[in-house]
Amino acid sequence: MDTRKRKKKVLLMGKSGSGKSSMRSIIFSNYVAKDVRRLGATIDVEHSHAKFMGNLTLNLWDCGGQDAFMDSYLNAQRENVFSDAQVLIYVFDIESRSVDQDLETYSQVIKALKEYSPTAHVFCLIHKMDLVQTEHRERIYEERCKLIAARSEGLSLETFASSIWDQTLYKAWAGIVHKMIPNLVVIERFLQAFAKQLSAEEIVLFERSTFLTVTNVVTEYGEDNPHPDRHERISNIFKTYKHTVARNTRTTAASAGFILFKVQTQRFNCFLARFTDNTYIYVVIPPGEAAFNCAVLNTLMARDAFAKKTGVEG
Amino acid sequence: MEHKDADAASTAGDSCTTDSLEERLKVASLNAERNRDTQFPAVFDYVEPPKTNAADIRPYLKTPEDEERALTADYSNRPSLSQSSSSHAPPTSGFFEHSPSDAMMDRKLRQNKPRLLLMGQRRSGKSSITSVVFHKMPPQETLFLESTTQIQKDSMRSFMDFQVWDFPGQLDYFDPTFDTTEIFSEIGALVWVIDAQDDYSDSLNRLTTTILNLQTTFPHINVEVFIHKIDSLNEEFRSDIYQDIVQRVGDELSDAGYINPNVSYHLTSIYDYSIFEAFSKVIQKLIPQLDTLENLLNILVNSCGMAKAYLFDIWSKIYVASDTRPIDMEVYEMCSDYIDVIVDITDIYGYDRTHGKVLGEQMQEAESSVTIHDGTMIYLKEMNQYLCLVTVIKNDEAKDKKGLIDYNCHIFQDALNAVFARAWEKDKPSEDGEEEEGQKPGKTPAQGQLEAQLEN
Repeated sequence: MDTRKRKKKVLLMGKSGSGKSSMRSIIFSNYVAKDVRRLGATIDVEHSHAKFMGNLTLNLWDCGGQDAFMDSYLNAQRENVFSDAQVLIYVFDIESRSVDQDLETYSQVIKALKEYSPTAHVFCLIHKMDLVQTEHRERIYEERCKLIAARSEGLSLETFASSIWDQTLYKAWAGIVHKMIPNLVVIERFLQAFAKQLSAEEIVLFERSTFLTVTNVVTEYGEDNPHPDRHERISNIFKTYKHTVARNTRTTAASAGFILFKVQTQRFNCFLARFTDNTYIYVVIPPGEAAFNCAVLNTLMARDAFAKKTGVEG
Repeated sequence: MEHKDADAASTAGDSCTTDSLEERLKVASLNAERNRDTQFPAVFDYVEPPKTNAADIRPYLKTPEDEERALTADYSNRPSLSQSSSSHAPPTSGFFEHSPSDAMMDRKLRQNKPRLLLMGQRRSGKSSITSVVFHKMPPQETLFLESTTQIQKDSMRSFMDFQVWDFPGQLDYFDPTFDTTEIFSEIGALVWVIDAQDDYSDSLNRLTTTILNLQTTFPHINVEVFIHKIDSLNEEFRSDIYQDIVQRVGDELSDAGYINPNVSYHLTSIYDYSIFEAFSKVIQKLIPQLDTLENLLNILVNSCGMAKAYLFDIWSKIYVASDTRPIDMEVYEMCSDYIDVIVDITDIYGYDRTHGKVLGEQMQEAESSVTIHDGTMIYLKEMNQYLCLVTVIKNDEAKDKKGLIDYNCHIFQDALNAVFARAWEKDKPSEDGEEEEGQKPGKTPAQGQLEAQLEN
């Protein structure tokens, strides 16, 4: 595979002030939610790269959303911006006062995208959901989804409700990343077999720097977990602790990390270990000291097999 | 006539033409302009975007009242939740397992409840401190706390029960109508909060009056002065204020003839860990077994090559004891946050399994460790229902001998439980008239065991 193809162009668009740069900073640049107040407006397009699983690199185009910029993306820079895009992430601000105008811009963007990259996936994030009262969230979200779907010109579309103040942001982005991993089926098959071998309840792969869930497998032992949002919560827990560690070892959050993390309790055992260069593996298994220690060792040894079987190097 | 008319008409026509030469030019230019306008109207016109049937979400957005309600609901629930989980039934998380001796030790310790009194001028931050430390409120939300109008009593249920009384600042408790004996009889420590960002002369006056008043009747009370809200002051200013307060209180007291007062000072802020640190110090003074605990921790640290060891109260994250090496704020922060990680993870995965699958034997207590990027290892072990040991290991050799560390910690745990069990047994002889000594022989076998470990 040549390197150009591995790079996936991801467009991040939406109205000015809808929270594009905020979420990008939290996910990819190790910001914590309250730090995003410091961010200024994005001028034109800001590029950044994020590496996943060795052979997946996201080339992120954070497009400033002020009307003047929007205009130039749709006219002067139309080809430059919209060609070769694999993914469009469009952010809607739930609090916006001009919904009609927003939807109109969205449909223009979709038209441009369809023209230059007809195979692109579209992800719509309905953002700042924390501002809506809890009991109305679902209904309002459903309504908005319908409106968006009607304007999506048949491109493949997925919508998420999100907020930077809770784990929904991780859920949304994990969903996006999950969609883009090239050999996901192979990876999942490998993990499934591995989980069976260890009698694990659950195995989750996390991306190293962002702690986004890459993929996960759940066996029959872990099916009755009452927390459907647990992966996002774990991402959050580890990321928060990573910040503490970084603060107290005088490094940046990007270079802080864990080598091995273990928990043993009466009801379950779990551990988090470095797997490939860019991923952590997180395994939950039933109690049993000896089995647990074996599982840790086996996981460290499975790295090579994993790289060989799935063709994921690094 | 006709001709004339025609003439007139022609002259009129003529005049018309002569006029119109100029006029027509004008008209033409006007027309041209108008035409230009009418030809390109779209450029300047705002075109209404097609109407959608998007519902207005404004009525559903949260109002400040909603936020407030959520807040109060949250924080009024919290303490009761903690009480139910730590006082009676075994907590649901499964992190903590009871043993019968735990329960017994519990009941005995519960009988004496040291009391912490929080006092100080109004708006000095007393309620914020209790909310942050005992109710886990995020510090930035304490801005919205109402001022306290009556005494707020909180209890901290742990290996030892504490009551925390938050006094309204405007109250004069030496008013004759107040039952001072009732308030101060069971007192463990008096925490006096001073707002360092404000003029504190009044507060110091009241503090010295209080100390002098108490000194006659309850000379053994620890007075802890929290020089509070130091977060926005710079380093130099902090030490100035600290010096000034210590000096002024000391002078006042010695003028009144009270030498060597039992007063200590702490610099605190709710925005960092200093408040937890200060509370830890306050509470440590109230633990009769503190010396023993510190000794045990010292032995453990030396024999296991640890950099630092803390004995934490799991719920409040106040540390009950630590080894006697100088405290490193950074290490403390990592240890205290690590408890959060473990509590959160056990909360997610500690549910009741229906499959009951077990892969082998395992010890009862929860245990966890993390190795971070620079090779430092943080090791946590549950000691009993309330306490956990958190240690930092930097020695490479020590990290490889995890089995030995496990074993040592286990011995430490036995010793710890023995220490507290002695405290319970001590009650019995004291009923018979015997006193004190019961504790000392109790710790020696445990210490002996640890020392044996050290030699191995």
